[in-house]
Amino acid sequence: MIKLIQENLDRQSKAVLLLSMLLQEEFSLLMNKDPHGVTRVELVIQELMRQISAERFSLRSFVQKFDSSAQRISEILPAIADEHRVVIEKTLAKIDENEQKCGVQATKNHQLAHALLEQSSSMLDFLHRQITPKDRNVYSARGRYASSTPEATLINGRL
Amino acid sequence: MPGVNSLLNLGTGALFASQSAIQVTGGNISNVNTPGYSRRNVRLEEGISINWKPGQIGTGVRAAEVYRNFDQFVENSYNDKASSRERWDSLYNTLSSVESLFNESKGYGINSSLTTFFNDWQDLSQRPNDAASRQQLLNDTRNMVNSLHSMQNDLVRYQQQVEDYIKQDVEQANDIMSRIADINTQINVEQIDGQNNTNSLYDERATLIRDLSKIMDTNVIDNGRGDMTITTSAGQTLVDGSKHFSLSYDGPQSQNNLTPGSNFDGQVYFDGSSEFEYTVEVATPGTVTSGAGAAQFRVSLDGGTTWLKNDDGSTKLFSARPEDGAIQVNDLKIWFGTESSSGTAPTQAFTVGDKFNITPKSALYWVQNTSTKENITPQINFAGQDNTRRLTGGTLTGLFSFRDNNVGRYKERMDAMTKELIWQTNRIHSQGAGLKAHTYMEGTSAVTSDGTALGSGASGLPFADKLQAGNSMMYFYNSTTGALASAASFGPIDFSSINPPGIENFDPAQHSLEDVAQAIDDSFGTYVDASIVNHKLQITAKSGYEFQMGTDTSGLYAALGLNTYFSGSQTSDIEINGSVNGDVDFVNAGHVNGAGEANSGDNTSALSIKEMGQKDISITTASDGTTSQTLIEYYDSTVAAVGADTGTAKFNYNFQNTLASDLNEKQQAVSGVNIDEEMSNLIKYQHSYTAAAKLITTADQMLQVLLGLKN
Repeated sequence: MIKLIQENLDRQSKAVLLLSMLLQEEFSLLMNKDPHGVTRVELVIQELMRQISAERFSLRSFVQKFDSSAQRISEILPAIADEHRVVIEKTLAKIDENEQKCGVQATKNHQLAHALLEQSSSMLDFLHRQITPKDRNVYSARGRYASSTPEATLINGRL
Repeated sequence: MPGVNSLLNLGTGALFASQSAIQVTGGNISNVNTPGYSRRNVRLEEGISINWKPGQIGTGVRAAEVYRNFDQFVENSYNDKASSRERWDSLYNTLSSVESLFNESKGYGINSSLTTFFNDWQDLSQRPNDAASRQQLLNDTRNMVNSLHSMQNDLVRYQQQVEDYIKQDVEQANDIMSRIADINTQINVEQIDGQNNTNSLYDERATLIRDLSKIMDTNVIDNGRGDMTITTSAGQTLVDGSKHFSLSYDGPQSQNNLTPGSNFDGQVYFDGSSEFEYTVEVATPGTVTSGAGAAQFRVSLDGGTTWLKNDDGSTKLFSARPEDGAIQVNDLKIWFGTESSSGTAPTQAFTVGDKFNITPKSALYWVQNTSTKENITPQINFAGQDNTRRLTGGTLTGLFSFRDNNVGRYKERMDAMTKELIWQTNRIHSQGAGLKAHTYMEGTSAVTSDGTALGSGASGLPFADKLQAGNSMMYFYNSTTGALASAASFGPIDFSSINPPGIENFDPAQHSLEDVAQAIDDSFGTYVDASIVNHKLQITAKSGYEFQMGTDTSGLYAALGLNTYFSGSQTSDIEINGSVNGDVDFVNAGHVNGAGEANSGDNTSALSIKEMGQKDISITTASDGTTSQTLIEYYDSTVAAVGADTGTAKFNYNFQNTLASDLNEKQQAVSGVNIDEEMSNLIKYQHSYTAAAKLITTADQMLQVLLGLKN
């Protein structure tokens, strides 16, 4: 069982490392404004995330086989022999470190992608404003001039 | 009237139009690599039509004007992003060099020398009377002091280097502003709307605005032709049509900013230099005086966002004093004088809310006219936000941030760490005893005036705020036998004959350096003679006697630099105390015990210093507040701060660069020259030209036919 847990964590550790590299690549593609490249990498990232999630589910089932009341690996750590525990703890620390890196990088990617989107949409907004008539006073269907902003008068309405 | 002649005119017009179109296309092709050139086109216009039978007949084509393809909206957005990009680029480039300064990986950085320093005290505690251990400690301390000095010197050197860059930028910005104003004038003269466009002037102006935006953040308001206004984002006008303003980079100065009803007739004076701007605001009304009734003011180092605090968290208040009672506030001495004389106290009272801005560094000003200028030095408050009434973009902001916010902050942290290292070590060392007793001792810290209470900000003592009420022991020995001179030849320095009478203890709020000298003479005049030389305390043993210092609950010895290990108070002036440096026997590993003896095998002080290195110490800086860490941890967190700042600058540069290059590409899509497109245009216009020529030939043949009728 311990061997299975260790192998699972090893795979997760490698996967998170790969994820962090992919996110970095995505950032550089964003910097080069290559939307096709970003889409390609994003698909790979999503698939990798799915795999990591699957690994975590199976890790949980291993943990529960080890101790049916335990939910997380940290709960069974004290029960594992020293020589294995040290290795597992080291792997967990590595996963954690790479996860932090991924989190920071993902935020950076998100910010950059968002900023690029906002820049393009502000461009469109500007274009839109330019083609929208600024003067909103138009003739109504009855042929009367409908003023949207009535002029200031002392008395308003019908006499 | 249509006819064969008008056909000739038609052809000629078409020839000219095609010719000018080819000329403009040629211009585009030849300028394909010219930076700042925008693609031009000829606007062709149909000639007037003549009412005739069978109806309106055109008179051909007219080349109306040459216009350039340019998107002002994209350009403004680009300039905005380019300003940010340049800010982070210049910051990242300069920070990278500082990062290598703090690089500990080579193993001889400050972290390792601090570790060695504390380990040496441990070694000494194991062999307190071993001369080699003492020598080793001194050597390693010397290395540490040198490392601190070289770090300080390098940081200062970087700041000076950046100042040169700032001067160049200011000069360049002023030059660009005047050139833009000149171009605006020229455009207004030469431009005839719809007919004569000054395209190259527009291009040149756009390039100059790009250059200006790289230096500082700009906001462009284009009212057509040369009526263009350029302001900073905060609203200071840089160019207004044919007028231009300027920037100046001036030395330290202060400005009054009084409330409307205030009668205050003086101004603030200062001594010293700092990377921060000081905002002094009167909080309690009063006048400028050395005695009671002085107004009190609070001080902010980030433009009024946060105010300096006491250790208990309350706002720190300082008294308004004249020159002889100048108050030490962080790095500056502050006092008030009249406009004409710094030494004369102003007579009128302050009003609450009166403000004084002190800029104790070279700063950037926006000059409106000869009498008015506004401080626009980029400023970042301690929460990390930009002051939006100052510059916030361009290389100038990057360079100023580097000088003040980054290197300024690192220097402040290094100073805070060194100050604590000096104080904590000296505090233990000054109460200890070495292998030899003293016959002469000289304080290393000087006061500004001998008669001022040592604990007040006006005393000029670097560690004045560390002093507490308490007593300080001294022990006197017979120099021949080494035994206590008499059974009662020791005790605390007795201040009871000094004001206030009857109280034996030292009181930092009451007693001056003169009082301390007097109290030593009064208490132990039989054995020693205390005097003040160069505003420092000197204690000389009388013939046949020698002395040791004992427990000191007030911190008086450490503050005056008596029996200390270090001298100085900050990174630039930390040294090993001269007397220790000259004689290893004066390294205090032990202490004077309850029986009044100093034993050579005693390791109390050495052990305490070693333990101090592992204890959390409260370190306070204006920008980071108070933290509780060991000295080594504090240094490591400074190194981490440098790394984090560099990382942030790098990310922000990448971020802004991506956005700016995206906008630049958009502008290029509009105004850039595409050689393929121009080639096809060339062929198109060439064919038009050929066709026009054919038209003329046809008209000519028709004329020939007409002329042939006569034969």
